[in-house]
Amino acid sequence: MSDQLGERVNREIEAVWRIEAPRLIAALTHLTHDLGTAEELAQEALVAALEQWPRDGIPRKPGAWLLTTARRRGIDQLRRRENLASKYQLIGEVLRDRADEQDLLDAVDRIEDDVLRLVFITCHPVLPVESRVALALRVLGGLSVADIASAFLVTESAMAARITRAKKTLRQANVPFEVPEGADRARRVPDVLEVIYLIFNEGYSATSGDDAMRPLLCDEAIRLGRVIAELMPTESEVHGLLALMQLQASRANARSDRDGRPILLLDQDRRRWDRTLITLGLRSLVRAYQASDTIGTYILEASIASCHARARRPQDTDWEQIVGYYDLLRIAKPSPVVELNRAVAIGKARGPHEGLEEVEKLLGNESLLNYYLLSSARGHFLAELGRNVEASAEFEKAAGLTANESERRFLQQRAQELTD
Amino acid sequence: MRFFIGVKATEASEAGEMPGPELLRAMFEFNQELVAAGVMIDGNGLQPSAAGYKILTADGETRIVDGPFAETKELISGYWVLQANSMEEAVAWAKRAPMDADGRDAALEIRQIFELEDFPENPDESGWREAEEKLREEWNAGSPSDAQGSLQPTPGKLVYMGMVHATADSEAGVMPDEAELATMGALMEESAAAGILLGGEGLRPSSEGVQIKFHNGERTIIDGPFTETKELVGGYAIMQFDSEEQAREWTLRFAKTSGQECVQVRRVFRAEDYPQDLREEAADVFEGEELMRQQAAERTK
Repeated sequence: MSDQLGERVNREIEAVWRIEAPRLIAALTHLTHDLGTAEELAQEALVAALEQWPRDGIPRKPGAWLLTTARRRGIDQLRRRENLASKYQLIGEVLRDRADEQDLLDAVDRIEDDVLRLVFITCHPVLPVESRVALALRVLGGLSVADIASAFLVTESAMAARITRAKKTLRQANVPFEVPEGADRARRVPDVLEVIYLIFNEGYSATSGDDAMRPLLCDEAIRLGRVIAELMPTESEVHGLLALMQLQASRANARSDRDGRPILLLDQDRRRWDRTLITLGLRSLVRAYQASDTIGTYILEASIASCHARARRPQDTDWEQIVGYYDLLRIAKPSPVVELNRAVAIGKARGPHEGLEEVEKLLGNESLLNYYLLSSARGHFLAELGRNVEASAEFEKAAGLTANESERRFLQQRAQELTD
Repeated sequence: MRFFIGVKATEASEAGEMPGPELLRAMFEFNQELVAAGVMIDGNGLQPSAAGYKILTADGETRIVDGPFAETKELISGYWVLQANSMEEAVAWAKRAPMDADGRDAALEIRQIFELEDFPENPDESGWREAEEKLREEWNAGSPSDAQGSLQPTPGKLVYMGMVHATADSEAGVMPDEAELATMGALMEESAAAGILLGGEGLRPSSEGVQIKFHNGERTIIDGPFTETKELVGGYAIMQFDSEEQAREWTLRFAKTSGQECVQVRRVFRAEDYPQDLREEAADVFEGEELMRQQAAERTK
């Protein structure tokens, strides 16, 4: 076989691996009761595939092939380590006892439950949050350690160590492979959503990491969001998060100019918004509202994003409705930034007088003291009211507070214009 | 990345022959697998070309030609849009499609969809904003007032797929110029705001594409480019309308604005388009989605 052909088969195998990895690891974790062992066995099956498939062709049911191979490897491993700790014997017994075809079929039948268990175990609070993110990308996303490492700007060996440590922590803490129930579940679902949203934000707005990896992380977070939305269709916030990610991603190609300078939402060329993602985002939002009566913060944020997505032009935006969502969001997730955004929305909806009044209510707020967007919003409304000297001073102040060079230039320019 | 998988039409699909319950069931399971993996963006069957029409433009003259169209092999009878990280991944999914579950030959074509970032930016100073505003005013005079934004097909609406065909330029990877982009962008935005456009994309040249032939249980991969340029899909839009008349009015407007020589318009299959006896025979498939939801609800109770 030529090298070129061989490389093509390898890429095909990688693709099949990405498709099969979560279900394979889920089934193996079910059998071995240990994520670390499961992942190692899955890796060994991948190595076997890389050896055999280029020669024999990719089997018709690659998932079943990988699972069978992984189990055989598990049994072989046991034979080699007969004298090792009883833990391995236990794993071996499980693998051997169940090593019949029917069980393989059963494993495939209950696979959705196992994948959901896998979701909860990778996002378990016993792990530090960056380990949850890495583990989720590895076992749920099927991404290579090298890709994950470059996305987070760490060396491959450091990322591999982080993942190994995470698996060890799960083993030591004896974290059960299960879907939490009742109050426990209500606590744990937000942990899962946080991990997905962190992955998304790392791709969407992170300040570190390899630029080429950004779209991959956004895509992967949205894909995982869809997987989880199918696994937990009654959790309204899952759909809310999925809606939020898709609506934000729909603006990815409109939010900076060709030199990489940010373009504010209202100044974006809306033709560059991604229609398909908007359609999917709005659809997820409908599902979120249908799923249950509970309205959480992701749904509220997605609802705000949907008001922008639905407006053909900036002046078509339903600001009054946005104010309504912020009124709920400030109760659900109180934060100074939410207060400021609400004040701005009030200004857009009801006029600069009302906007300025709301913004000025926030002036005494400790955490907004040195926040450039507060000064910038105040400057904006002052300028609209024709109070140019005060407005200019606010923009100057904002310029002095921002760390971003292009924003500073923009603010200084506005300050300058107002005094000319 | 997104990929478009077109199902090549066959004599049977063009004759309006319905898939048997077995194939329908296999297809349903495959679709569920795509959904569970989070890769499914969209997917539909198309009615035979007899239910569609083409809008041809030559020398400034535009005319509508009703289907059926003769060149069966070059038509498509269905499609999927998938999210994947590579062409290999999209092909790996496509190879799993149970196209030959009824023992017949079939073929798929997989093409990568253009990402928005592939298109050049359109600086405002070029004056296209004004041109666009003017277009809007013209359209607003006659367009429906239902400005709800795009959602999934509204019950009762007719769903259509509009396709523009590949050209020598698009096959050579030549990007549309800014004027064309601006016009098309305005058109897309307008139809989205009117609640008509559900989604639409341009396809990368077939030289980057792949075909899969299904024959005797075997899958054979053929690399692009594919020669029948005139009938290759160059881009598509999924739209919903209240009536066939409204569909014709809008697609005609689209054809005129875009300057495309040929726009093919096809009806999308919906559950109610299948004959009653088939729906009864494969009731589990038609009720499947509801069933799936219940199962999933149980699982997460």
